Amino acid sequence: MPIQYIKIFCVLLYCAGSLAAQTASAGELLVVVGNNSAVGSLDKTQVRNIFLGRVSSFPGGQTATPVDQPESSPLRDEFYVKVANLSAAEVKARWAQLAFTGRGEPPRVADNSKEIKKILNATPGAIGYIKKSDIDDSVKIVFVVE
Amino acid sequence: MHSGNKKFLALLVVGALGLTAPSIRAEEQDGLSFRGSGFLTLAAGAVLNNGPAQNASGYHCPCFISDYGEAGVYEKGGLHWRPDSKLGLQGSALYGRYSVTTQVVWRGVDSVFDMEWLYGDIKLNNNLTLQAGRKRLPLFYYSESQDVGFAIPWAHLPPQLYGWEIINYNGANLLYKDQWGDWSSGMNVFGGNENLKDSPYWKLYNGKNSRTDSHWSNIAGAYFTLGNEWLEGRLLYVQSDIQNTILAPVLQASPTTRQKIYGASFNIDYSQWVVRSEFLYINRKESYGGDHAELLGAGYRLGKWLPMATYARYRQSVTLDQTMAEAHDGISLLLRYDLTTSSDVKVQFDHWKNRAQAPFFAATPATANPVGQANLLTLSYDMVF
Repeated sequence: MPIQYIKIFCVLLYCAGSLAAQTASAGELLVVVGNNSAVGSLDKTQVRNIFLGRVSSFPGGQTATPVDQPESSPLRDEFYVKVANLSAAEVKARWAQLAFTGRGEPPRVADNSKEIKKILNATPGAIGYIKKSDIDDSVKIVFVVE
Repeated sequence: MHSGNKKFLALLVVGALGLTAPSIRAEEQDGLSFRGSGFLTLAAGAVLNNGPAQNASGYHCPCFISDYGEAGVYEKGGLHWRPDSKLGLQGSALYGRYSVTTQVVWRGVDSVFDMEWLYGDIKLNNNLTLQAGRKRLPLFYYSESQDVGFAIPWAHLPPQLYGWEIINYNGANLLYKDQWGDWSSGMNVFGGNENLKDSPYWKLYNGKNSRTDSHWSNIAGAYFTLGNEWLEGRLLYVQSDIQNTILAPVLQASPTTRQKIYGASFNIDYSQWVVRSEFLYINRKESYGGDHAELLGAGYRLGKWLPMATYARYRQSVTLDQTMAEAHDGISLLLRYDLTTSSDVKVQFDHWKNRAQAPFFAATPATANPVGQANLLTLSYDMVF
């Protein structure tokens, strides 16, 4: 292979390293369901599989309907990095792989945490993630994201 | 303005509109809901090295085959945008457990909309889904999503592996997914037929102006996947009958023979490391022999950047005369940057090294300068909307 192409690639690699984005921390995140949901506590694997479309239901058998924060929200990136070790863009790429091949529908996207709480109480099986400071009586915590 | 440039501008407009659109549109009425989505890839590439003018199939070489199934070829001379540029639009109607989905794809390589997917879908329960209609044949890990540039790591899939004449089939399949302890599992069992008129793939071998019909019948296969947080494995087996008929320039029909396809892939996403590997063996002993192909790629994520290097290899076995076997290697260096959570740009350098003993795609039998000796630089923009 011509040496000059390897040199160009190495320069681009160096630039990539210099400009690599840092993931911002946005505080403690909690995975929640509606207050009337029969879903108990979940583990990290179960949460990851639900939000990546690898399973369609909760351990008890009820159909799961994951709800995402908006694409612009730093909570979304933080959630997927901590739960699946993937950036929001990588998660979107995986969903594109499923959604354009008939193997799944991506999570519904809410405008904000307030709307997520509204959806959780109106949709059976809905599950979302919000900041600890947004918790109130309308939701039940099923997993603490660490 | 040249009609090709007009279409390219139209794609840019669609791309700009898509950037401002919500990712998924959904309308619901009386339990019936409709969803629309799409994907776009704008790619331009140039062959960097020099060589002979034209090979026996009519392509200006050195040239790089980026898409065997659609005969997408970067030819020598200037910048080319057609081989990898595409626009896909998908629409679904959903009613309870039932849905109907169609996907049309416009490709720069032929400038027409093709209906790639049209299938009905019944969710039998939370683990099983039955589908029937026209779908992609899932021969490889990325086969079904090969048109969606944003969903694949590379600017184009390694052609040493992703290089077959049939990419769709008409039939039915049963999808399964579940969680087994810390592992997620999936299975797809499928069967059907495909009759492809005027195969683009065979123009690469039989000439730009040739016409070949390809038939894969009695397709039956399955793949099984198992994954955890950082590892995913996939095993595949497919068998079918295969028959090709050359209609032009000279009528020539091959007998129907049996083929058996074995595939395996192992993917790792551990910490910042990304590893993609795939292995293929096709038993075509009833016709010419067989095919072996492998790829191994490794990258390291740096925030929104992904530099990745990939090696791919193809070897053909020809029972009667091994000196006529096709053989080539590919090395690619990729740099991907995620612009947003729905779009990326990629720069990719490919080197294709011919390893065949006999001249393959030679300008004349006497000049052994194959299509494979090519260096290609590609710049692409991908998005989903």
